[in-house]
Amino acid sequence: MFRWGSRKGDPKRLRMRGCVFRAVVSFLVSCSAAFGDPASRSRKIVQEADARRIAVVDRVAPSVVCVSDSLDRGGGSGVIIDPQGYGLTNYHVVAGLVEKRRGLGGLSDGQLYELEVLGIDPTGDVAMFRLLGREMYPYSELGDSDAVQIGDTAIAMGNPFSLSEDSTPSVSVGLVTGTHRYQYGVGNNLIYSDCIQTDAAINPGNSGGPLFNEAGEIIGINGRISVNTRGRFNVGFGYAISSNQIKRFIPALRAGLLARHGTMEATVENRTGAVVFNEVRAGWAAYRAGVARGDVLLSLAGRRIDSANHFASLLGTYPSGWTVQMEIERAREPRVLTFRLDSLEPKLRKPFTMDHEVNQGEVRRVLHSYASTVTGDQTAEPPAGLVWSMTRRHDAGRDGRIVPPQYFDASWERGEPMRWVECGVDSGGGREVEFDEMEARRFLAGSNMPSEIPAEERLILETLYWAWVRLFEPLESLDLTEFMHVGADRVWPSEDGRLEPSAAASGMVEQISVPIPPNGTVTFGFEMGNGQLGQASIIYGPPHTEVTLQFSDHREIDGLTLPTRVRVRSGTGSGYVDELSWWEFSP
Amino acid sequence: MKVRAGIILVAVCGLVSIVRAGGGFEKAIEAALPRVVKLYGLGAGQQKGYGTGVIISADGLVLTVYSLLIDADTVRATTADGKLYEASVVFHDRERQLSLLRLRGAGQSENAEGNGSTKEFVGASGAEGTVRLKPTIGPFPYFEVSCATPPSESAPCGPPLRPGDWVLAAGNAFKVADGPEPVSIAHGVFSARTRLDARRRLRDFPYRGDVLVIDAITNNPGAPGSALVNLDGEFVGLIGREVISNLTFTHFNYAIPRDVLADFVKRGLEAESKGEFMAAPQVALERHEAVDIGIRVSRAGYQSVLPFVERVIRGSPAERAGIRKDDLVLSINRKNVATADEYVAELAELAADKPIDIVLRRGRRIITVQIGAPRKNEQPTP
Repeated sequence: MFRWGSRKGDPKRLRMRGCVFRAVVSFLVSCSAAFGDPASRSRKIVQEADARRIAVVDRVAPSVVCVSDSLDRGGGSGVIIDPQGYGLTNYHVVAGLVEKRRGLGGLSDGQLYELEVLGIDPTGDVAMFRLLGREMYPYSELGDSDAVQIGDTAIAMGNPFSLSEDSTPSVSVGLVTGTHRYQYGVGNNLIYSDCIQTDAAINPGNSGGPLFNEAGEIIGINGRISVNTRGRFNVGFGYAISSNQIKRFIPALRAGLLARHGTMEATVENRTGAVVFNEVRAGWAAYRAGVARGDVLLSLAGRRIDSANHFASLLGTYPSGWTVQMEIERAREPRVLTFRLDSLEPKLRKPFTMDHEVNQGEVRRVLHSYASTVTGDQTAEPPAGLVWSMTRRHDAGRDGRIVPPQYFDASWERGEPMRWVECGVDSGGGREVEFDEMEARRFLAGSNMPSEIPAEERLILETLYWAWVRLFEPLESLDLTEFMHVGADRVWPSEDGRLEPSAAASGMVEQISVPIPPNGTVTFGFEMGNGQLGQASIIYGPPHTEVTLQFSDHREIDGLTLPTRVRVRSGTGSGYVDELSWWEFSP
Repeated sequence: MKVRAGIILVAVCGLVSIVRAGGGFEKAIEAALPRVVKLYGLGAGQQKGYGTGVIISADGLVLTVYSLLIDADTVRATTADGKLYEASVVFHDRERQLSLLRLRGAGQSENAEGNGSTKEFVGASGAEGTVRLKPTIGPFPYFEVSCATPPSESAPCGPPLRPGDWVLAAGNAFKVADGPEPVSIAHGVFSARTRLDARRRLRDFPYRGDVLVIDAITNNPGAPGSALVNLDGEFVGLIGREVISNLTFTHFNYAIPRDVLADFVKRGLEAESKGEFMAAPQVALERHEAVDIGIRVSRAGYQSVLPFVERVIRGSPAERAGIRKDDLVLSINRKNVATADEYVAELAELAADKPIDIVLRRGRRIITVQIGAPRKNEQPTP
């Protein structure tokens, strides 16, 4: 948040007064329009619509970028999406710049800025860049592309045919002429999934530029047109990558990664009144989750699927590793499967190497935002120790047996090993395990634990352990070079509504991962927007094993804002979800 | 308190602007999308095997253009709800380049296997004495095309259109939509009602009646047969076949006006009730293969080079016309060709049965030759 000016004079109230004034004026205007003669009424409506559109164009034009390789070569377009100068364009616009990472970005102020290419998404034809040389940049907000409807006004801006010599963007206006379109790619590259179709003129050079809605929000990135035999120019069919798809890839793109799209390696076909799996590749995501040939696909990620095209289109909008929920039907029995998507490998002319400095910058930003969320404004000391009590509830439907809840205590004090106590069904006390770094690493190396703790519990213990030792240390004492920003994941969907994370608005977390030798990785997910700890997961293998703890109900306790609930899921392969709820904790 | 009253009043009056907020085409879109079908049939060369039609009766009469598409054994139609029907030809008119189809079948979901029993004849609706052999399909949402009184030039049927009025076309151009997905729309203004002097490739377009000229880009594969509606969602015309203006050589965006369609449909239904069912029309398969006049031009990889004649095939029409090696091709049928690629592209546009005028430069002389009746080529011209 950037604050301008002082707080005196209560700007909120002033703004209110301004709003009321404007509302009254517009009321008088629209009423006089409503009761005037039809011709002047419609003229009024047109004039107002024109004035609104002009105001929107004026407002967003400074955020539109002319992207080029060098001064004398044609290029594409882009748009800045945050004040630090981060912007979006098409992969195919910067594909030639990926190696040297540098290009030029021209803004409507007539200035040229150095442009640094960050992450790329060849499958989705998106890339992120950062403009250099200025403190603050004009930017536009990303809108909700799922709210876009056929017939909405669409405003495309950019630099078609490299017409602009002073970097002032060209503007074309049209309608949204199709939504949720699917346009095939070239192999695994340049696939336009769930894209927006428009008849606003899109021409060569418009690529990478924004498609705005009437309110001036970015609903898509223009990048593709249908062409007739006449040539490569506008024939009324332009396609924009939807903003909601892009949002899921932005964390990875900001972190300078090669973003990969998800796949489940299964195909469906349209049959009478149903969409049916006709091929499920053994060993891949859909197969591991338990999908079989002949299963009927009902919904994916909460949306009903009504055609094979729809399935491909929706699936293509999710990143690799993303957690999806899918509803299928077998022998008239509905089932819900939850699993992570596998990775679709884009084709690159040369291997992409991540810029470590860019990635480290994102790690620092996320961890600092987390630290300040935990401690608030003051620089409070991290907790000296923590005790969490947990209840484990078995999923009754899994094997048909009802197992009574089990209770555990996990406690940790700085410098001491972690203690894990199984309290028994009646909190009576039971097994007790001490767990330190040596044990943790030995465990990951595959050797036996010093007790008969079941494998699932051990993984939970392990994940908790690493969460504690990594995240409750003061930031300065951590070796941040061990960490890597690995993009976004989704906050696990809640089935009972009880464990919905507090910042579920975006439903997304930014992930920082740290390798734990010899073959494990612990990943922490911080909720987008507020930086709170949303997830911690441990993945190790082969064979691929995963436990994810989902944190929620963040509360302030002794000056620290920490989660007070957790839900656990494990065994991605079988798709089953175990649940633990965790309350109470005493710093 | 005053403030609150003001806000409520604003909210009431605000409704006016909310209605106009989304581009203003809502009514047109709502009317057009459910009344358009995606057509699938025969395709060859540049003629695509997909197109668009407009439902014009509750029992499934569909209006579309006259083209190779409907020459297929089975033309298939997908309605806006994703159901798949077979469509058979009721009537067609080569002069007006229009076809009338009738949907048949049970309305399967797409890709469903055809069911033999549903292929039986369904009687025409409305005609007296006709016995319905099977329960009718539908009812479908449809556009009314017929006119209450016989239309005249001064009083054409349908809503009046003035130049500058907004229009919206709805159809499956480029086959963007699949199954139940809504077809594409395109918006623009009505420019003029006029007559058309146009051609399809090298053939003259036979239709000489009135057309509605629009500035929405509708001259695209799959778009012919799209519905054209006004802002109120009233049907005003049918997007015609892709043509090129003989005057300006531009690709023309136009629609056949509703009164012409009404007359065509009336004749079609009369023919149907008299039992004059038409077999699938024998639409001449238009030849688009490249013609070979026996010239090989110099080409160098991807670079654009001047269209110099590198070799003249012995006994070819080019040789007979006196074309020699090292001649520079300047134009073909009055169209300038600047590069070897343009020469090849231009040649590919030519029909095989018409003479070709070629202008050449030989040394410092300009030579005009005419090549008659070139042969078709099985292989593309290199």
